[in-house]
Parts: sequence; C-alpha cells; structure tokens
Amino acid sequence: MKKTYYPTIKETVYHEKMSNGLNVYLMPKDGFTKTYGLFSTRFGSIDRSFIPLGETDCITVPDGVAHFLEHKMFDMEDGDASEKFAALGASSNAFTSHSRTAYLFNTATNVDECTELLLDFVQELNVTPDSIEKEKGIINQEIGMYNDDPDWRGYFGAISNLYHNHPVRIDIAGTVETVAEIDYDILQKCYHTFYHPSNMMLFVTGNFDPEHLMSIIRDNQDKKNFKDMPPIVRGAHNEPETICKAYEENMMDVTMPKVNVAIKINNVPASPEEKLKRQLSFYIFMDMLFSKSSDLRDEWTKKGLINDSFFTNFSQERDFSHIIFAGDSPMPDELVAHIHQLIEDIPHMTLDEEAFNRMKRNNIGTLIGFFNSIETIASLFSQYYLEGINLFDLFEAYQSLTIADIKNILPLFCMDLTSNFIIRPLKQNV
Amino acid sequence: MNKIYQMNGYQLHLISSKKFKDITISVRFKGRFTRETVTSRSVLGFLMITGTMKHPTQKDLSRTLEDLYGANLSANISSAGKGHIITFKNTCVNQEFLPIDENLLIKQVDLINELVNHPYIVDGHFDEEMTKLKKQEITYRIMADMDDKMGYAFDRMVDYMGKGSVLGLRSTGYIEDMDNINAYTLVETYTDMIQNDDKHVYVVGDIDESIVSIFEERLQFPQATHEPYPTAYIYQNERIHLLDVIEKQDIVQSKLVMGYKANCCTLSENTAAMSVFSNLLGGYSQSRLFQVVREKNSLCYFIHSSYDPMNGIMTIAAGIDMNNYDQTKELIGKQIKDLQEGHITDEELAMVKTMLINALSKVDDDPDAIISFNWRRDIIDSQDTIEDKQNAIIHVTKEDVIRCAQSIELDTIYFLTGKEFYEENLLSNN
Repeated sequence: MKKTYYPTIKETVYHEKMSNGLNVYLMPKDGFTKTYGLFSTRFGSIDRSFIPLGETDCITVPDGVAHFLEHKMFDMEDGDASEKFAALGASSNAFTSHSRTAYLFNTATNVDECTELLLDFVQELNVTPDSIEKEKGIINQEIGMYNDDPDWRGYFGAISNLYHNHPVRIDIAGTVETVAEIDYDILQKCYHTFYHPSNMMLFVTGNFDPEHLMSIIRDNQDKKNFKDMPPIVRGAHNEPETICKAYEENMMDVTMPKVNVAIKINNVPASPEEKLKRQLSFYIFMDMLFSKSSDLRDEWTKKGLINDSFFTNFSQERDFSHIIFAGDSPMPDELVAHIHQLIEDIPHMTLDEEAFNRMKRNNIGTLIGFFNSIETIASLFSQYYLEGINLFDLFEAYQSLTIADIKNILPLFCMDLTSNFIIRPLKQNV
Repeated sequence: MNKIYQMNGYQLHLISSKKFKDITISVRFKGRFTRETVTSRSVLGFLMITGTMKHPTQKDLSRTLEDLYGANLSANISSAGKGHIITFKNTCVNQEFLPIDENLLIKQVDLINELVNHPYIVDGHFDEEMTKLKKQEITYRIMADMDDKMGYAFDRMVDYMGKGSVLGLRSTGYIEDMDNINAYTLVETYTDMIQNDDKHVYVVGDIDESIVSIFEERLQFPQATHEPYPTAYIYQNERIHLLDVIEKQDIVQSKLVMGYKANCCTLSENTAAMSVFSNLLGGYSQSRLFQVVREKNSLCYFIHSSYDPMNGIMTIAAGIDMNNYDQTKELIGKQIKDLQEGHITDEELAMVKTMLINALSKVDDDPDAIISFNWRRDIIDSQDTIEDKQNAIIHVTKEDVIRCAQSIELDTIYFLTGKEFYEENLLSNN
C-alpha cells in the first residue's frame, strides 16, 4: 500500500493495486461522520461496439445497454443490493455517463460491510430473462422523464448535431426501441467484457482506518477468481472532422425558448497532461468571458439576451470533446447571432492579463472548496482517474498555467464546427 | 462547538468544525409570507447582491469576490410555513490553504455588513436599471421553473390545495405583481426587512469564540420590536370534498401529485412518527411505494412521498404513463390502507428508523446542512440537537406510525397529462 500526502490541500491518499488488477484508492477524512465509496468501470453509453471477452469478432450492442446493466446490477442471488445496504444503514445508488458506470454507497455506519457489499454486488451478475423484461417498464418511464426535460433535450439536440457517427450523440438511456432489443445474452457479454477488475477502480473516502479497510478489500478480492483479461478492443467510431448539422429546432410545451450552441473540438490530446492543460485553460477562459465581473456578461444581460440560466460547459471524455453555450432566452435568434459573432472574434481576441490572474485564483479557490464534500471528492477523483489524471495534480496544473496556454485554445473556436439547437415554445407566451 | 450569542439586533450562531476548508457565513431574514410582499421581497433579495455603496456595480462586487480566491456570494428566497426567508450566503476559503497572510474573516464580515446595511440606495431609490433587470430576471426564472414538469405539477397541486391560504403562496413571487415594484418601493421593502424581520447569522468553519468580538464591532442590525413572526403551523381548510384536478400539456410522461393534510407539524408531539410514516411509505428505495409501484409493477421510475413539517402536509409525487393513472392511485391507496390497518413488520420499521437516524448523523459533514438544521430548529424556538432528534426517532413505535397513517387526509389529487388522456377521460366525463 502506497501512501501519498498532498501538503497544499493537507490530504492523504492510499493506493494499492490488487493482484487481479483492481486499483483501489482510499482517502480518510478526519472528523467526518460519513463514508462514501464509488466503484467505477470504463463502460458507458459510447461503448457501442467491442470484441466480447473470449471472442474474436466485434459486435454492436443496442443503445442504452450500459445504463440498463447499471439498473440490473442491483439484483443479487439472495436479494436486492439496495435493500442490503439499507439494512446496514447505508444508502446506495448508481449512474451511467458517456464513458463510465459507477456504483456508490453512502454510510455513517458499517463501513467494512458496505465496502464488501459494493464489491460483491458489482462483481457478480444475476439476471434472468424475466427480470430483464420487467426492468424495461421502469426504464421506459425514465426515458419519458428525460423526454419532457427541455434542458436535457436541448443538450442532446445540440451534441447530436455535432456528431455524424460517434455514439455520444445518443441518449445515455437509449430509446424505447433500443431498450426493447436488450436481452440476456447482450447483458452477459457486456458484463464480462467491461466489469473485469482491471477495467475498474474503487475509491473510498470518509471515516475509516486505511490500513484496516485496505486489508478487508484485499481479502475480499483474493477470495474471488477472475481470468486474466487481455486489453479491451473497442470498435472505431469513424467520426469525420466536420459537424453533422449546423442548425435544428424543436417545439416543446415550454414557456421560455432554450438555446444551445455547441462547438465540436477535434483532436483530443493523447497525453493526460495536455488534456488537463486544455481543460483548465477552457475553464479559465470561459470564466474570463462570462463570469459575473465580465463586461460581456454585463452587456448581454443588459440587452436582455441572457439571464442567470446562461452557462458554458467544456466536455472532454475519452475521445470526444465539445463546448456548449446554453441558456433560456426570450430572444433566442439574437442570442445565437451574438454567440456566433463571439466565436468569430475569439481567435483574434486580446486577453486581459489581470482577468486571467483573477480567474486563476478564483478557480483554485473553488477547487479547494470541493474538498469539503466527500461526494464531490469521490466523483472528481474517479472522473479524472479514468482519464488518466490525478485530481491532486490540478493545483500545480492551475498554478503553472500561463496566458500563452489560453491563447493556444482560441483557434478551437471555429464557426465551421458550430451548431445551434433551439427549443421554441409551442404557444406564444407573455 | 455550537453556541448562540445574542448580538445587537440578531442571534449569532457559531458552529466550529476543523474539517471544513472554508468558512461559511449565512445571514437569514425571516418576515411575513403574504401575497402583498412576497414578489417584492424576492426581487429585493436578488437585487441586494448586485451592489453596495462601496461596490455599486455587479462587476465591482464580483471582482472583489474573485480576488478573495473565488469567495462566493449568493441570495436565496424560500419559505418555512408562514415565514418568508431571504438568505445571503458568503463562503470563503480558509486562509490556511492560501499563499496569503491576512484575516479573510474580517473581510467576510465587512462584506456582509456592507451588503446588508449599506445597499446601493441613492436619493431614496435603488439603481433603476438594475431593478429593471432583476425584475425581468425573476420573471424569466418563474417562467423557466414552469418548464420543469415535475416541479410544475407539484406547484400546481399546492396552488389548488392551498388556494387562498399561505400554503398556496409561491415563495419566488408572481409575474403579474412585478408591475407594482420599482426602485422606490423596494426601499420600503428593504426598510421593513432590516427593521422588522427576525435575523440570524450562522458561521461554520474552523473558528473559535474570539470571533464574537469581530461581529460585535462590525455587524449590527436594528432590533425588531415585535414578537417573532410565526412559522410552522398545521394546514387546515374548510373544503370537505376531495379536489381532483386533471390538466393537459404536450408531454410524454404524466405527472401525478397527491396532497394530504398531515394534521401534525414540527411543533406537534408526533412529528417524528409522521416523518417515520412518510418515509416508510415512500421516502426511499426500500419504501412501500418504491417497492410496490416501481419494483413490483414497473409503473414508474420516480415515486416519492414527503412530509412538510412547516406546513403540516404530506405529498406523494410520481411520473407515470397516462394509462396507468387509475392503477397507480389504487396501489398508493392500498399501501396507505395497509399501514392504517397496522401491517408493518419490525424489520421495515427498524430499517426506516436506521435510515433516518443515519441521515441525521450525516448533517454534520456539510456546512449547508448544518446551517439548515440549526435554522429550522431556531425558527421554532426549539433547542433540540441532532441527538435529540435521533432519540425521538428511536422512540417511535409501530402504534405511533399506525396512528399517523390513520390521521392523514387526502385533500387534492393533481394529474398533469398528455392531450390524448385529457380528451378521452375528462371531456367525455363532462
């Protein structure tokens, strides 16, 4: 077990790689009552085609399968995992994103038992054709819920315009039609390929003794047999550099029009350091543009184009990346025109050094604040880990960022790679 | 340490905890919750964080905060029973984690004092342009809130159930009342708030008692001269018939919300039992409604019951397919009847109690949750600690839960559904 102390933030992390390939990270938090465990696998909605373990040919699975599997993992041979957590006084949950699935518990008691239960229920699949069929009704209601959510629709509308083939364009839960195609055989293949310990990571933070908890985890893993796993082969997405569609709109029963402008970013850096540098540069630059102290935000607000709901987001996961500008606006077309003008101007923009330094301090302060919440720590640590980045390197990465790094990302704002998606109200309001 | 000091015009609550990396100050104003004042108070709260005499513009103020390593300043509007609450919150990284050597807490207190005691009022009015902007922003916010369909359905149910009483009021205010508000009337609203509201200041972080002198010297408020405003109460109405409302929108998933008179509130002796009952019925993944409506019958993804101890009501909400309206209502009714008849196992009672006890333990790990717990206790003049609340839960018996199940009364059923259902069921009945 390796111990690393990070003096800037005064936290210690313990790491050990189990003999089956599972990486375990423990971060005790003095004084905390809760313990939070997060068990993640590199399997998300974009893992649509791959070579199943032990086979030779690439298969394509129905959209929404990672999310479906997440729901079904809670079925255990002798009961239901969430019921067992509840009996231990803990709560449990799971979520699926584009590139990962994660299972979690949150507890104030029985940390050892909860950690073992988390490992045990995820490391065994118990499904039957009947239980699979039954789940479809629940998942279809979940899909229905997202279909009524204009923010969710706007986001997926915008990114599905950006990509021709890349499965990031598809809803994480799939559609009612693709969910109908999911069966026993497909779930088995996905599970055995992506839930091997060497493709997963366990992070636990909160109130425990790290030596003791690590030995519990080690013993638990040593009792189980996993075959050695060759590296996973995923099918290529053959995504062209261009965007699929520059414009689309949709009518929904909403009161406020919703605007989403998205820019596709090709060539995601291969090295984690470069990836991180690009991400943090974007964070700082977008704050320079749109923080509450910015002239631009002030101007757009006074023109009535934007309000508090306006935000920007930079995504970079595995092999895709994009920027989003989104918000409610009573003048959606004018807002789109302003964002377009901005995108054209950005590559030639002069950067304000003082604003850069202020936003750097601002972002570092926010990062320190994240360490107050064990849920946030676990979520960020795992998210960065799966991209090959150590969360604690963010402090140094922010410090060493210069205005030249910001200049480097400006050419990525490109009108040819920009798409708009507008949701308009069915009926005219106010 | 958790100590209360009577200061000049307010109560100061110091909650010391070494585990947090920042210091949170929350200032809370509690006034009367009336239709006449709510919209104006809502605008005022959001207007006040846009400028002070020393930093008149939003840009000025935001720059000051960004220079403090991303210190955060926010306003929030809410209600608790008959009380209307304006909250200002300021969080700042503890200087221990920063490469600087100055007392940031003094700066935080000065900022709060400036914000609350020296708002940007010149010649008897707030800034005209900012007033206009904030009125517009809150108008948009109210409109955008309507686009969250579950939230909208919930608000509609409460509108119907609480019509003409404080229960039926929206804490963010009303679009149609905006016209009566201007830069001058807001000064009256401000004067009333600062003079007459009940005022509490909470500080959470790595602090000690010595900071009381900082507050003594730098933060004073006018002393309210009346008895504290009322908050918690037991909702009652004159109506004897069940209200059954169906409304239509162009949506995929229908939303069912049911409102019950709880006939008890946080001031009642059986409030802990009511909380146990509501959670046993539909508060978490092992609850009756989740298990029966979702897991056994696959009718929904989301179903939840919740007890509002400030208004003395209980609500049940679910997202379902429109064709399952009758079946869902019937299943919910059956579960309540089952509990009324006393069919409760020792295991399920123990499990829900453990869940509630652990949820209370976890309060201690989150500054916002700590403040919120203390606040909800302080506004009803209770001295109960987390342990006292946990003890109350422990002592709830099966008979107490049965009595709660028997005492609730279904008051309003609200169903937001797609056009087809509306036309088939409602129009044909009329």
